Parts: sequence; structure tokens; C-alpha cells
Amino acid sequence: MRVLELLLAPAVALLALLAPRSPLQDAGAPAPAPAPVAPSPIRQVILITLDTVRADKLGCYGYFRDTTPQLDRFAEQCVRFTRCLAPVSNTTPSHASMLTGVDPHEHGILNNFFNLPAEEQVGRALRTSPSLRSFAEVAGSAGVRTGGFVAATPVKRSTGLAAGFAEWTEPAPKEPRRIGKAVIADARRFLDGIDDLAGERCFTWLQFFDVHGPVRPPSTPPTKYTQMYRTTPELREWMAARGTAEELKSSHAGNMPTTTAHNLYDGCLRFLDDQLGPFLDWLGTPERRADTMVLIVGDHGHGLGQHEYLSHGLAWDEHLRVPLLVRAPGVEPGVVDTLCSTIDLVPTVLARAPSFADAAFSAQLRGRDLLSPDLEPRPLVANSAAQRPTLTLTTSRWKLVRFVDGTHELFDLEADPHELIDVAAANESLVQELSRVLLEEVDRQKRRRELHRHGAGAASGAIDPQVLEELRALGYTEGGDAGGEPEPDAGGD
Amino acid sequence: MRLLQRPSRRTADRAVTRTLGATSVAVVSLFAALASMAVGAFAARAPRQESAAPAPTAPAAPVAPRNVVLITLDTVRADHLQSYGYFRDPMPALERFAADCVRVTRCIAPASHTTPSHASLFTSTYPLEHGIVGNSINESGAGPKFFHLDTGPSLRTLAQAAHEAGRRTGGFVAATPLKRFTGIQQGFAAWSEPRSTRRVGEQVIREALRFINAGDEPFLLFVHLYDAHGPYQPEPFGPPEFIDHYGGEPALDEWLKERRIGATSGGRGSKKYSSIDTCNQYAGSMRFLDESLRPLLERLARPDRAADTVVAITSDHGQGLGQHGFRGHGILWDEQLHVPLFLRIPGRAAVTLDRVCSTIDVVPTLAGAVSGLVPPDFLEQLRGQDLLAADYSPQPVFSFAVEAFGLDAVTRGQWKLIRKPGGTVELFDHAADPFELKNVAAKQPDLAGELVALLDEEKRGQLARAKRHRAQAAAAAALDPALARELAELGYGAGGENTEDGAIDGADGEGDGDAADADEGDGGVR
Repeated sequence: MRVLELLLAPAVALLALLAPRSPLQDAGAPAPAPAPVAPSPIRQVILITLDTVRADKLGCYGYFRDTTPQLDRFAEQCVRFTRCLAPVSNTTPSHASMLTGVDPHEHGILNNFFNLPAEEQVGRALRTSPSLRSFAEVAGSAGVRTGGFVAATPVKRSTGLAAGFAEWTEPAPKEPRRIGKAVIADARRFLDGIDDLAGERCFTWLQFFDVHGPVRPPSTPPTKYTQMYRTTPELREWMAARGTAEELKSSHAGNMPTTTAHNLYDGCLRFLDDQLGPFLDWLGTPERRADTMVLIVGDHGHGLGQHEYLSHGLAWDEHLRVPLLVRAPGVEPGVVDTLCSTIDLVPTVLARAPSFADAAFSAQLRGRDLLSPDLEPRPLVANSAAQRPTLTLTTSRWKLVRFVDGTHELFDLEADPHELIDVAAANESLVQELSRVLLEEVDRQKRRRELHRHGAGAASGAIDPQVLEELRALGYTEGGDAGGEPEPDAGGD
Repeated sequence: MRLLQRPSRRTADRAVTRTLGATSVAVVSLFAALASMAVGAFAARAPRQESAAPAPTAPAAPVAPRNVVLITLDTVRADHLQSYGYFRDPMPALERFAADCVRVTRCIAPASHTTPSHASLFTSTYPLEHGIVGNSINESGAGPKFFHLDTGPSLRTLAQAAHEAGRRTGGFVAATPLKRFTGIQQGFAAWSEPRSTRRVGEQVIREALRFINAGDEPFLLFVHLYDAHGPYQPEPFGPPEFIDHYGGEPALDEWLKERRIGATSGGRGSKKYSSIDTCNQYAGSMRFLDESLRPLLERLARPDRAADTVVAITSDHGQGLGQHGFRGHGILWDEQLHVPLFLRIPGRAAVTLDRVCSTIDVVPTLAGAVSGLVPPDFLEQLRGQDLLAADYSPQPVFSFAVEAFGLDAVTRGQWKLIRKPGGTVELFDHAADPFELKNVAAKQPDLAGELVALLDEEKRGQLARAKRHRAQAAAAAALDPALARELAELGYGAGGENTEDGAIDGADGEGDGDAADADEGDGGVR
């Protein structure tokens, strides 16, 4: 063992350089409490989650199409984070991480679970405990009014994500999803009511599902949007730079050409943007800029053929990298390139609006205040249960992918931001070291999860079997073409 | 085993030092290189000669090629290229590049399946020696039909050797039979492969070009393209404008007739395919392949690379197309084994070498063309020979389809002998019968017996060397406890499968790490 350690020593030093203040090393300790500040002007915190929206599809992130003119305009009021990663690329666990401020291995939801038989869903919903609370619960206890307005089954009450929201609306029992306008209408009713109560603080969450597939009735956007974009050489070039084939041999989308998938996705994004426009205008008035903190974030990205995968659920960059726009009173708009996570949202809110939580809550949070001038990158863990179960560790420069069989791939994000060329063989000791850091961190998270569970209350009830019907309508329960493909070349024809 | 040959940090430092040295040498020899380019350009215009004599070298110029690009065009049979006599030109970009290359007329693959053929290409040994006697039928590592290239001190791949010698190594492959589970990736510091079963050449080439541009150190680049491999229906294997490019010409009827290919041939099951359609689609696939390859060839044809980069282009096997009643590949008829071989060597005239050789001769030829490409001790394992060496002498070459069909074959000069299970043999005289239609074994019993003895002797030698390689690998592993531990961790040692990682997502009693994947039904290869 000693020999191995000696070999690894240079890599340890290298890692220290990559992450000068690696928080993983002290991740077991509580995050520093926010410094005492003057009474916060923040009266409202509004969290807007855009399901399935990957960062590089927004105009303000450099996309070549005009997919998000309204969001781009709103972004001018915000700090824009260019390297924000979700810790997982499925809707339920990703939102659970945002709301609890911990990674999936700590809150215990590693995947969506509502496509399982009802009896297997028992116990899978987010269960909060004294040591693991949702921000909505904490804010409610602190006297903040809370409202959650969501658009789809993966975040319905059955998942446990409604915990702490005093006001809550979701698609009707038989409906798997609803369009953004309906979400905004409910949220506006709630927010207008708050406006009538002078001095009330509130935390509002809106979730939008319009970009999530499948694009088919009844969730088809107007034809204007599905026909809005056509394949152009620019699109082909954009896809090719990301190693995307125009045709996938195997996909669950009926072998849709990946160009078509991009065109539909972009149209859906424009559909979402058009619906968001009036609400963003409403948020942009000077009065609201003075007392309202707004966070707009994706819960995960989408494959669109990259790494030969149309959907999401894996741990590649295009699945994990999400847009993040933060607007807070007194904070100048700008751009932050530091690697960060969606578990950082709640700490960022509390650094500016400490009265939204009790002092004990900060001990639970694993993230950082993203608006702190001292923000440092730190290695981020992500997981995927699709295909081969996978763990990843992302640093400013490297991305380590560890598959369930113990094999690794390593990508140099400086030279290869789209994660196409594995350089593990040329960086053996770095792989070993990153892998050690990854496994140790996941182990810490799982140990904390046990502590949280120990304090958890009685198990929540079974999920309503109704959910299965809704899932079928969403396309989740379709078996896809998961069967093994014949090996080419194997049998001599 | 793949951890075995990665360099330690110290080795990497040495490699950097060497690289710096090589760079300054290259700068010093810039004028020399320019001079040799002029020579090369002149030579390219010179008439090509058909000759059995050793290739004349161009007038001696102090050329020092430093880079190697090895390209395999999966499933491309030689006689479908215009330079090899085909009546069409399905690969115009390749032919243009080939005008500056040494072309070898009769290169025979050691196997007609992708994995064993590439293992032979990379190690310059035949299949019974390197142990990959067939394609694996799954990636699981279990079962009787799983083959992994187990390397060791006495059996290494070209990539491992070049990596040890300090070269930047990159491998970019397009299909399952060369994915990591085969061990073919060993020695490649940069590697990419499809996530599912195959990918189009355009993607592979784009990554390869990026690899070339990524640094100034001397490199070894391996590119594998799969676009000519069946099935041939246009989508999603290629756009119809390429795949459906060819219609039937009268010349195709003649071509089929002289090879005695019937109007239809059977695939798996009872389905019959039109031979004309099959040939047209295959040629169309090659056209698509050529279009993918073109940007890389154009890059390699530019003066800087023409002066400093050796290029070898070959294939792993051919394709039946209904000949001898066989549409695919995997057995030992000439149309399945005869592959193109082009060598672009800076400073060497473009000529045609009328020779019988094997793809196991490629690595020795590259090692001869680029000094310092591999450590000297690597040369000991090479069973092929440098095709451009002054002391080249023709040798019999061998081919094996042991695992799938129990066949082996030897080609010596104009004679080719195929031995079937049970020991019956067929003998063909390529001088009179290039398409292997007439078995003359009964007329030439002495010659047949001589070739059978040659085959037996060769197999004995391969098996004895394989045993030695295994012993050396075991000894090397035993000498290094850290390595043994790594191997054990990977599941290769006595400890059995590594189950620790199964616990990451699943062993906490809730089974979250299972396939509870709501959003994706994508199959792919697991």
C-alpha cells in the first residue's frame, strides 16, 4: 500500500492545485453560518425551475438560435453562472437536492421512481427529518409564506417534494402535466395575494415542464413552435462539434433523427420562453427588483443524441449542465465561470435573506453562497442510475466517470469540453486519486443519509396508483427498445 | 491487464524530455524535409511500375518522419478499389491519396473477423499466439466466447510500445469489436469508442483531427472506420445519396459472372438478397466511407504532414458479397481475406509492390520507417517483416478462422491452401484461378502435403510462444505487488469479481441503483 501511496503523492499535490480549498475534505463539517448583516431588503424569494433545459440552448449562453429572447433579456438583470451542474439528471432527485441543499446520496433519492409498481414506490418519496429538512419547511417554520406550483408528475405531492409548501397546485389527478401558463396563473394568484399583505415574506417555487418530451398530444406545443426550426448547416456543425450523429441506431424516440430532436427541443424552449415573458416582465419592475430575489435554474439537461443518447438520465455534461440566473437586490449583474452546483441555491438565498431560516438549518446545507466574492470551485459529485450505474466527479479541469464495474473514463474539460476522448490511460495516478476522492465523498454522503433516516418519522404511505396512469401518458412506462442489439460482425453474417 | 503498460509519472517526464529533443531535431531538419518533399512530388508523378523486385528507394534524403497514422477501413475488400482493378471508383479521395503511396498488391488478413485481425495487426503475431481467435459475442467477460488481448512483457501492442517510447498515442474506433472490453485500447493515452455498437466515420475523423492538432509531440494515431460494414440499408448507416449511389451497370454483370456469384445469395435465415443490390449498396457504403475519410487524408497530404508522417491504410478483412455463397465474412476465401494496403512513407517513391504479404507485416514496416517509434526489445516479438527492407524475402502467410469455423489457411506465392475441420484441404492456384474456383489439391498432392506441414509447424510455434507470453505476463505480475493489487481490484486476480461498487447505489436495501430509469428506454450495449 505504501508503494501505491508514494506513486499517488504527486497526484494528490496536483489535485490540491486543482481545488485549492477542496471543501470535500471537510464536507462532514457544517457549512459556515452566514455573517450577520443589516436587515435584508428581501421580502420574496422566487425559484423557477425549467425542466430539461440545458444551458447551451439559451441565447444568453451562446446558442446560435433565438430560442430564449425573454430569458435573455431577464438575464441582463442577473448574475449568470456558466458552469452550474445538477448532481443528477432526473427530475425528482434533482429537485430534492435543490430544496434540501444536499446531494442525492444524502437525501436518498437517486432516481425517478414513479414508474415502478405502486408497492415498490413505498418509502421512496422524500422523507424529511429533523436533520434533513426541505427549505420550504424551514421557511414556513420561520414565518415565511410558501407556495409551490408545479407542472408534472415527477414533482407531484406523491414524491414528497411538496413538503413545507402551504399553498400547492399540481396537474389534476389524471393529468400527467400542464403547460407553463397554468403554472404562472396559479403562482400569480398566490403572489398577488401576498402583495395585499404588507410586509409578508414568501418563498415561491414554479416548475415548468414544457421543454420535456414527448412532443405528442396532448402536450404538443402549437404548430408554430414545432415547425419553427429547420435543420441548417449551422445546426449540423453545432451537433458535430459535440460528437452527435444525425441518426442513432437505437433510441426510445422511434428512431427520430437527432436533427429533428434538436429542432423540436428548440421549438419547445421557445414556447416556454414566450409563456415566461409576461411573468418575467412582471418580475422586472423596479419595486420587485428592490425586494425580490429570483433564481432561474434547470433541473437537468438533455442528451439530444450526444453520447448516443436522446433523452436524459446519464451523467454527461449535456445531461448535468444547467442554466442558472440569480437576481438579488443590490447585486450587480455579471457572469461567474466558477464550477458550482444546484445544491448551492439555498445557501445563496440564505446568505442574503437569513431570516428565511432558523440558525440550525445551515448545518444541513452542503453547498456554498454563489454570490460570495470568495467562491472557489470544488469537486462535484454526480450520479446516474440509467444504463450502467455511474458516479462522476467534476473538477475545474477534469471529469472522472466511474462505472459500476469499477472502470473509469477521464476527460480533460479544457481540451475536450464535450467529453468525447477518454484520457484515463495517460493519467493513471490522477484517475486513482480522483476516484478515491469520489468514493470517499459518496461514502460520507451515505453515512449522513443513515443519520437522517434514523431521525425520520413514520414511513409515508404508498403512492397513488393513479400516478401510473399519468406516467403512461407521459411516455415513462414505455419499455423502449432496451433489448440487446445484435453484435455486428459477431457471427460472420 | 490494461493498467500494465501505462507509464509512471517518471516515465512521462522522460517522455517529455525526449519529445523536446525530437522537436529540435525536427526543426533542424526542416530544410531537409522540404527538400525531400520536392523529391516526393517528383516521384509521385513518375509512372507507377508493376514489379516483383524490391521497391527502389527515392534518392537518399535525410528525412526523419516522426508520426504514424494507421487507418483501418473495416470490411473493405481490395478488389473493390479502382487501384486494385475495380471497374468503379467508390473511394476517390483514397485513390487520390494512394497516388503518393506504396501499394501492395496482395495483402492477406490473418483472420476475417474484426477483433482477431486487429489484434494481429497491432501485435504482429498470428491469432493463436495473441489468443484472440474470434470476435467476442458479448461484452460481459463471461462465457466461452469472450476474448481479451492479454499483453505482457513479451507481447505488446504497437500502441503500448509507442507509448513506452514516449509517443503521444490516440485511438479512435467506430464499432463494438474494438471497444475496450477487447483489450485493443491498451497503450492509447487518448481513446474514444461508440457508446452503443457503431458510429459514423465523420465523428471518428473529427476526433482524430483534433488529436493531431492537440500537440507538437510525435504521435501514433489509429483510426478505425466502420461505414463499409453491413447491413447496408441507407438509414441510419449512411445517407441514401451515398448508399444508393450505384445502379446496375453491364460491367457489374461481368464482374459477378467471373466470380461465379449467383443472382441471389442467402443471409441468416431463409431471406435471399439480390447480388446486384448487395454489390451496389456495398460500393455505395464505401463511397460514404470515403467521404468520411476525405478530411483526414487531405490533412495528411499537406506538405508538413507529407514530410513528417508515415501513413498506413489497410483493412481488417474483406466481404463475401455472395461469392462462394457467402455474403458476410469470417471464413478464409480470398475475397474475405484480401485487403488493400497503402503505405505513404516520406521520401519513398509511390510504387506498386507485387507481393504476397500479411497485415502482420504492417507494424514491422512502420517500425522500419520511423526511427524510435518503438523500444528495440519490441522488435523481438514481431512475426511479420519490414516490407520495404533491403533484405526482404517472401514468406508464406497464414490465416485462421479457428473459433468460428475450424479453418486455417496458408498462402505461399501463387498457392493457397485451405484446411477444413477433419483435415480435408483445398488448394488453389492464384496464377490461373484468382477467384479460388477450382480446387487442385488432388492434382498436386505433394504440394498440398508440404503446405499442410507448413501450417502445422506454424501452429505449433504460435501455441508455444503463446504459452511463453502467458508465463512472462504472470511472472511480471507476480513481481509487482502494487500491480497485482490493481489487477485483483479489477477482478482479474484470485479475489474474483469486484463487488464493492455494486454497493454504491444498490446495497443499502432500497435498490435505487437498479434500472428505475424513468426517462429513458434507450438500449445500447450495457
